Amino acid sequence: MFDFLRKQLMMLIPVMLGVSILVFLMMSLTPGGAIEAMVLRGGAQVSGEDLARFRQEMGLNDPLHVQYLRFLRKALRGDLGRSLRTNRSVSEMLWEQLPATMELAVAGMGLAVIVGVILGLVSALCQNSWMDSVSMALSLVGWSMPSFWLGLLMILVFALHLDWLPITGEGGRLARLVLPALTLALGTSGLIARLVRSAVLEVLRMDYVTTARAKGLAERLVISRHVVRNALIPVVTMVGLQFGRLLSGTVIIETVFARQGIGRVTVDAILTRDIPVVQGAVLLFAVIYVLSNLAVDLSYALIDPRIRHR
Amino acid sequence: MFRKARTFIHLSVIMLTVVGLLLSACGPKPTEAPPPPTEAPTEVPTEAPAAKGGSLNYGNHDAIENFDPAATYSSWIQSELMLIYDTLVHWGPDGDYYPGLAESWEISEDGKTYTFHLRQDVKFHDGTPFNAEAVKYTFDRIGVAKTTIGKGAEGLMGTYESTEVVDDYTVKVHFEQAFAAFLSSLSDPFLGIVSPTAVEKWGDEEFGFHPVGTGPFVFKEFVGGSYRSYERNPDYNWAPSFFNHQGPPYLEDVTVRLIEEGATRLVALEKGEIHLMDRVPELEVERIEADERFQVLRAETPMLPECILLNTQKYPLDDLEVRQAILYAVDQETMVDVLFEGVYPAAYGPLSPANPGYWEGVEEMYPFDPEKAQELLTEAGWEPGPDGIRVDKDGNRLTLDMVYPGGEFRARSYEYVQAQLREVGIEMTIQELESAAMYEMAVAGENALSQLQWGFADPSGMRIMWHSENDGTGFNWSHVRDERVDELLEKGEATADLAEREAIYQELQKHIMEEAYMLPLYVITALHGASAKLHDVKVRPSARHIWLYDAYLEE
Repeated sequence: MFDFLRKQLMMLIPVMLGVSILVFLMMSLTPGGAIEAMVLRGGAQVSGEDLARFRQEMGLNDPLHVQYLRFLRKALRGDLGRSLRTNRSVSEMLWEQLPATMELAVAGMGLAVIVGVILGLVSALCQNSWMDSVSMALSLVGWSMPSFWLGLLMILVFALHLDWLPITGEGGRLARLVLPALTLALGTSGLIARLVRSAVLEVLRMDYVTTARAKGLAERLVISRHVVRNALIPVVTMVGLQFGRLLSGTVIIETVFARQGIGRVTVDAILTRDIPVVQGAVLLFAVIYVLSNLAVDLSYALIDPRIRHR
Repeated sequence: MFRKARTFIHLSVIMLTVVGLLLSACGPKPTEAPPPPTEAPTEVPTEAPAAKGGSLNYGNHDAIENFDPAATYSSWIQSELMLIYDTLVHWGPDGDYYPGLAESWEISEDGKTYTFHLRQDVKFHDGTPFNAEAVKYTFDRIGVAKTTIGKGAEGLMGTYESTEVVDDYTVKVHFEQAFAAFLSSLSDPFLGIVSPTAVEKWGDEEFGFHPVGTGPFVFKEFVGGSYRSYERNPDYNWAPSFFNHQGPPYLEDVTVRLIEEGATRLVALEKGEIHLMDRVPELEVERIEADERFQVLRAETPMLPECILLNTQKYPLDDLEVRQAILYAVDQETMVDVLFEGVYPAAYGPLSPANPGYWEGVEEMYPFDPEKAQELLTEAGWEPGPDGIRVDKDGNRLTLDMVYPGGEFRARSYEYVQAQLREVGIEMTIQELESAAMYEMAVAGENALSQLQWGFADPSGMRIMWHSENDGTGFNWSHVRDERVDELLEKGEATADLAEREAIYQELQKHIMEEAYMLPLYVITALHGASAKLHDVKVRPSARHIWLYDAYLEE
């Protein structure tokens, strides 16, 4: 078990290396340089000559591999550099923003799983009833709605017209989390619901379920002891895979709901070609993604005793 | 049973979509036409109520993270810079220059030396005294301070040579060339005076996160991506005379909350979570103004108006007649009335009426005249083709590609222009690109038509988009290489005599329009939204920036 853990954690290194090279290449090859992007956004009076000088000062004229190695050398010492735009330390920025994103992503995923599992279970157990149809319709709608639109809609309805929830700081952390987490969750919950439904239906057909029923076990216990656990395995896999998608969803949600977060910082950095920040943020995302997949792998051991004893 | 389920699903989907659509259409219905927009900043006559104060929540769209005026490039930060810093000179709401930290000043005959007599009663937030040394320190570090890039402050210093400390409260600032625009520069928050003690203490790199100035508010706290907060400076007593009072500001504190998304910011205002916001979405202005709980503060921005630059190095825009035809073919007046409901006024030249030195003559130069446009095009050798689009003698179609960095408002204006150009036989394609990518194209001169708008006050700012030195490197996306333009720009910067300057820039505006280097569209009006309970916010002529010194919140 620990061997397994160790091996997986070692995998992080080549992943991060690969990711950082990719990001660097992409940012460098994307048209538009950092200086111009920042000046355009801010609107100060800068001449062409100034632009050229700034580029030189920031070392942006050096060949790509030189720039990359410079970054790598510092990164290995734990220094992710400073933002080209604000001169703040990148690691400080990310550290500051990380809790908000994790909070949102975990809450979103949690909600998605709860809603998805309930809907999926209901659908499967009452297959082809009106509840089944409604659940599946809801899941389709949730999956199809663009999060930007849905987010704004939620704000309009729940924050403005009904005035149940706040937008800015007042009201506490939890209150501010509800709407964005819900918006984020709706899409993924639809997917999970469908998955749970088909997984449960599959399991219901299994011999051991028939046996359990034949034994005289109460339906309630059949479901809780046999069906749910077996159906969960594909679901857990899906949750792991979806977590990455959810993380990227935070980008839009954070902007719409005026929340702190790495997603928002990343978008701003991309638009201003703030390469050090983008590098740092994407690396962080990569680490989170790998770790969350690891957590999923480990959870199999928890759910499925067959794996534990291998 | 199967059929029933299917029907049910279809019905549910349709109902949900309908409900969703209905909900999204929710909102107070637009009322009749609002009263005509107020041009002067809203100044409610104050009858000195008991204690004015309040804690202000200000929703702002820009993620400011560095408060060093010498290091930042973003002009959106200016309102906040004016909370913590003061400038030597102020550009008042009426357009005149007022004493700030400098009580008086003299300018040498040749315009190369400025002498300032400083106030003697000013202190920095860290307790250290404000004096000539501080002014010298501030100016010297601009251009030297290696903090972030872009540094808007540098561009404002002209041909700065040195600052001489004559005595504790007198400085002489020397320039290589006459610099008539220095007063305008000085009133810019980027030249706010910083505490030398604080800079030495924190170092150039970190000072921006622990700013210390002499302003009416003291920097308190900054949480990235969330908010920045400021507290009243109880010792403040050197406000310029155009304000309603002296002494400390009324507001106890100001919290600026970052809300990047315009719609969300507006909702926060309507909910009362913020009392003030910047950049009201244009199409919501009418509704907000009509609502008596709120007010909209407008001010015209001095700027290169929102316009389309015509690439004079690319066929067929290298032909003057073709360019002029484009200008005659477009009716900006109707466009702003119909499309924008009058939120932004039409533009006619390379400057806005809010710029000092704006020449009204540009407004008469290209009246809407599609027939004249047609004539010019025919004269230039473009005959109407089979589908209505003109072709030249080689059969090439008169097609112009337009590139822009997004923005719903702009998109509408381009569609309008596109339709009007089509009437005279010109085809215009419109492409949206991310702004940095668009920049590369425009600089290289690949496309025919570019979008640009640029905020600046003194007309010498025109250099970055019209001087030939900025063709291929800067923002000269019309790729103008015109000796007369270069000459006028250089003369304008070097001349000290104000009347002479005005004449020079007048000629420059006329010449640029005669050569039809640009198609002006509209002037952006800065739109701040506020609760009706917030009084006495002053909008500065540069309009991206407001003063909160006199402001207070009604109970």
